[in-house]
Amino acid sequence: MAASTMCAVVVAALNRTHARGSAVAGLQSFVRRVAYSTVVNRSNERGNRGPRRPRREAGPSRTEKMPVDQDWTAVYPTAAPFKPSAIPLPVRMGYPVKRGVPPDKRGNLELIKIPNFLHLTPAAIKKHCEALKDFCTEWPAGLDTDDKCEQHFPVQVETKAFVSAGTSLRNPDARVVTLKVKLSSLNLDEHARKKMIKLVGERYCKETDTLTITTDSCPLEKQNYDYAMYLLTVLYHESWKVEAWEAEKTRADMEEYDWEGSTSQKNILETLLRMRVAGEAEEDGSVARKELLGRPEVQEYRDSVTRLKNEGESESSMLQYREAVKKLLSL
Amino acid sequence: MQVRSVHSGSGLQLQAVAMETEPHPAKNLSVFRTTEADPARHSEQHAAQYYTLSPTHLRTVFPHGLPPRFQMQVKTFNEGCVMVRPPALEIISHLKKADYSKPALHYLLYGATGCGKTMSLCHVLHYCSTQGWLVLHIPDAHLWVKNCKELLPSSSRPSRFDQPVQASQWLQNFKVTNDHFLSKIKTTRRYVWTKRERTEEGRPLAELVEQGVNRVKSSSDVVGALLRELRLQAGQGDFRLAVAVDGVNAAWGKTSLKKEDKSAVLLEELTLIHNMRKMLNNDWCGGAIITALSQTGSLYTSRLSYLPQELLGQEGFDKMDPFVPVPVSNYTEKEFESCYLYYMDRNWLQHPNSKCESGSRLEKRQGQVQENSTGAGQWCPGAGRKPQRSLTPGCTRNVASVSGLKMLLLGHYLMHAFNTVMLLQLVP
Repeated sequence: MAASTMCAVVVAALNRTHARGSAVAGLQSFVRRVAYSTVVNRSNERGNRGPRRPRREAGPSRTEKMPVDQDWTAVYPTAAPFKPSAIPLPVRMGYPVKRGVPPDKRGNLELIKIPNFLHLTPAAIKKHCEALKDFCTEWPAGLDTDDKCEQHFPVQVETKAFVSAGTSLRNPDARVVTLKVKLSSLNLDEHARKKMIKLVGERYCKETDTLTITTDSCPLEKQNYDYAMYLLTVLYHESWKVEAWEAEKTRADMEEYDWEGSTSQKNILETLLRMRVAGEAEEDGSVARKELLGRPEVQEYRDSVTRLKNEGESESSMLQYREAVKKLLSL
Repeated sequence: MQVRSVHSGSGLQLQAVAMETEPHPAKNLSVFRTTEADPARHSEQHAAQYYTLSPTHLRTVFPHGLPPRFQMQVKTFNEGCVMVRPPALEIISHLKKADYSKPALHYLLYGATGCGKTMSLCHVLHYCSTQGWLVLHIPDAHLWVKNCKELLPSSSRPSRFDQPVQASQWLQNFKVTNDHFLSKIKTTRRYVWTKRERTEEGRPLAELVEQGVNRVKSSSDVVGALLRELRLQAGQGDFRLAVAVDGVNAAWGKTSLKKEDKSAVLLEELTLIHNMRKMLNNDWCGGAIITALSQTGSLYTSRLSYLPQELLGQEGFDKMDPFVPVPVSNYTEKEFESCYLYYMDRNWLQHPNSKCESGSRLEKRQGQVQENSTGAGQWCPGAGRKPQRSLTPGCTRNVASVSGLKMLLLGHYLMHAFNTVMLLQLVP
């Protein structure tokens, strides 16, 4: 009876003070004392107005009880959010306000928001591998280096499989198939190699000499794989064929600069011939030409021009060209 | 203000002089100048020194050839002083040794913007002029491929376009430079300009040039005829021909001119460019072709490109090939000191700290030396920052040893209207 009147007083006080912080705190401590004595009436009196669960003090955090050689995979067996009391690391994250320090981990929302990989430590991975071993076969003993793998299996096929639990098991991204092969492992002669590179265009990487074919036009992975193998076969056979119109290839189509027959060669021959003619009597054209081309200065000049055109320009290649021209024109 | 005497701290050059001669307080040594005004006698011992161009030469040899900023400097200082530098010396030495019965050789000056290509070219042309050569100087080929208000269809060839204003202007300047030659050289062919005007065979070239200057409409064709005559007759040994083209990459690039139907004009369709290209072929003898690249003013090229193949393009490179590339770089330490002393001498640098003596150091600011070939110089971005320290520990050592004209330059306090800020920071 007295308790109920006291509760009524408390309620009235609550209504008057509009549940301000301090008032609530005071009220809570008061209610705590009240709750122990009026345990029977509590639920009825309060109704549905806010939680009144007893608040326990938090004990010492789990990190203090963790031995150093514990099994971490037991603490984080699966992906779980960041639990500051379960992670024995003095981690800080956040903006250091007013030249202070980043806030510590207790109650730090930033640490909870970000993804963590605490469930994927090396020990955990080892355990996964051990579990998967039953479903795997041994790696072949003969393929212990990358070069051997490259030699025996030049064609590499990459596919992605996706696992997710949902209403449907299908994932359209699983149909993409990427086929990688080095052109040096294919049987191609010079003409076939150049033609192949022209046919594939962007798919060829010059630095690694790799042809990459990515197929995703069919709905199934198997179909895309068959299509990629078909493309490779067709490219190979087509690049070996020589068409009639390939004879019309001009200097502009050439992949790299060839000094023979270029304007540079023409110019230098003309210049040298004119210089000669100015000095001596005219000689037989072709003999003079061959002799001129055979001179070491002309060879050096040819090397410097080829370097300039193929490798692009730079200070050093320009200087090399300069030296070659000076020697050639005997300056 | 008198030139600082040897006593008061010296540069590398001054130090060398101090060791040779007795220091004389009354005698003012200008070691950045040389009295040798004849370019033929310039050699390595004159390197990094200024020589003075006489006013007559300035008027006749360079009516249009000097860079505009250098012209401003000449007007301001009342004298034209050019620094003797290795690229020009190299070309001059080649010209001295060359055999003129053989085809003309190409020389190409290349380098970053503002390094001194045009000034080196002018130095070489001064040499050619003093040696009695006929100088054919096209000051900036870029001016012929852009901003042309009047583009007339050529009367002689239907597919070509004339540029009367540019051609007549160039002819006038050509006349100023080579007046004495024009009466001696005769035409070898009859040229018909219009129904009533023609130039007969055997007339002096002066008449040809007059025709071009007076009748502006046919001036482009006159230029073509003139170039043809010079090409044919240079080989006969009466005179030597120096063809100098600045901004030669314009001949093989693109134009920004448009025809009446808004389609772009190709370079081959411009008479002036067509004739210039013919001149740049090395199928004539008895002279030399000295050219300089220029990115400033060029069309459709990146601002940072300066190497020959980038600016000339494949076509230009093939046409110029084989050429002797001559690299032009920024000022060396010695050249910078020379330039600095020259400006001090001309009262151009007036901040008190720039004159302050022993105890301070010349600070190089991270290699941002802007070549001062154009005289008034260019503002170096990044050079405006104040130095982090004004006196370094090495200073006291320098005070004692009088080891250099090392002065402290406080950032952008170099005053003058055009903000010459060439600051060099020496790494100790």
